[in-house]
Amino acid sequence: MKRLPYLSEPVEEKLQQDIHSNLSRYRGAGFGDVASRPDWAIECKFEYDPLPLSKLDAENSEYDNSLLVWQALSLLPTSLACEGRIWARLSHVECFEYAKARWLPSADSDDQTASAVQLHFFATTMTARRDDNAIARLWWSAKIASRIAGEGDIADTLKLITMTADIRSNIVERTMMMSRPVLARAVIEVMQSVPAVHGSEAAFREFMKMLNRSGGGIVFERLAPKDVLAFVENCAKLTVAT
Amino acid sequence: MKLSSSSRFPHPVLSLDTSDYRDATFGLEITYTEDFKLGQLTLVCNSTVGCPSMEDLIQKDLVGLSLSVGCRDTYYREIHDLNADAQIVLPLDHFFGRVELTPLLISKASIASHTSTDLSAEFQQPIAFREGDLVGYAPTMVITVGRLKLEKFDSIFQLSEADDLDEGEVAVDVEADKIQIQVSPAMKQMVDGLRINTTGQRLLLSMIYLPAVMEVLSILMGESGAGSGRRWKEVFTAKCDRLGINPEKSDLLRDAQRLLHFPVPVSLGAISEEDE
Repeated sequence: MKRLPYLSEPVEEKLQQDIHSNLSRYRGAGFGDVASRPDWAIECKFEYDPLPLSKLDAENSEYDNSLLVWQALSLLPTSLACEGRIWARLSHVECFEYAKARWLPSADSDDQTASAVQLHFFATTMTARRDDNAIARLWWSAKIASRIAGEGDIADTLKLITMTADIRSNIVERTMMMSRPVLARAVIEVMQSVPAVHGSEAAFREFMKMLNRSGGGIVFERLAPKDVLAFVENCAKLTVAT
Repeated sequence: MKLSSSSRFPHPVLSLDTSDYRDATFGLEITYTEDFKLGQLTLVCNSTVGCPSMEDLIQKDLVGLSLSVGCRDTYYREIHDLNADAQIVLPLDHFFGRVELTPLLISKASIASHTSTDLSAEFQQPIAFREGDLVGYAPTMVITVGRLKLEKFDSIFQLSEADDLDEGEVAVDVEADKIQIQVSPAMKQMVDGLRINTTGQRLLLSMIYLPAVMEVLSILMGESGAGSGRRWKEVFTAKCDRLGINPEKSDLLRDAQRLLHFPVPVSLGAISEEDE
């Protein structure tokens, strides 16, 4: 086990300013030569297993890679996962080769590469952490799957979340609904049994509207899981029928 | 749980958003403390239920007080029942930034036939509540948890040169991770000269930062989505939440002074100390 490192604020800021002048590093060997400098490797108290991160592979599915990140960092406190400099460090050092292979196509122009670096190697806001950073994105998929699965196995939920980019955004961007585990569990179950509700962006939006309209004032947390499921199934039925 | 004036219920609900009860009120005062050493967030609640029939249901333990606690950034959203001490202790690790607290009244058992003179004329027939029904709610309160609100203002502002400004002109650009306070190259040299000593820093609070914060508030008032996805917005919003400032409806001069801890006397103090 190792202590989780993160970048100092000045290092993160300088990296963001110098994206263009560092393009050869991003396209090449990365930042290994500076990674052990004290301001590049401030250690938090949290310890993690670095081995699964070394197995990340851009050729593998997002599901496989999410599971690897989760194996390494499932115990990371959520509040700490909101600190962008942890993810910036992992993207620039420990998981650099994966982040480069996944998000920096070699045929891209300088400007395209610089934009991709800004988007996928840093994590300064909630959206950047959840959706864009190469490693944080994988962690949040697994985190949300774990919130929804509760004590159960995250595999099925994570598979659904990472099935397509559209499904992922449909689920993770509905924070109000999907952060309520009892409701989210039923929604996921219905998405699996009635694929038509997420067959298109428009269909899913209608399904969500139906849930919002019909369930606005219901305290799902006080209902039996089977009643929540029946409610969501009914909304799905009404959505598909219209 | 998204509750608003457009929420519809199959039964009467005690809330400012509905007119189901006459002259009745429900409110909850919440104070919170963060213990970073123990890693705990403690919420202490003090409720006021100005509705005799609802008070009666609470006393009979048929209705209970609960708090919906939600944090968008961490995907935490749970309903906690208030214990006899009206206190909830939660791990701080669950939260980052804005935390929404919505007081709820929830039925704890089925109530077959509820009648009340507090109810509006529309509900003069006996009402039935199922166990778990939402029977009242108070406005959502937002608190900011974690260190975001404690970050220094300096960390979200950056002084930068802009060639296209008139000499002496100051401008603010919010389309970057840090708010850019733009000045001409000559003026930047002067400001940089002031920033290297304490007296200069104290003067700049009123001369540069106060109007800059007013400008940011003004931009947010005109367009609440401004700065979305920018780092400065998270810190700025956290600081506003902490002081109960709604950036969309702010009193520019007053709120800018509050956010900067009233900088004018600080600057005046710097001038008078310099004179001495």
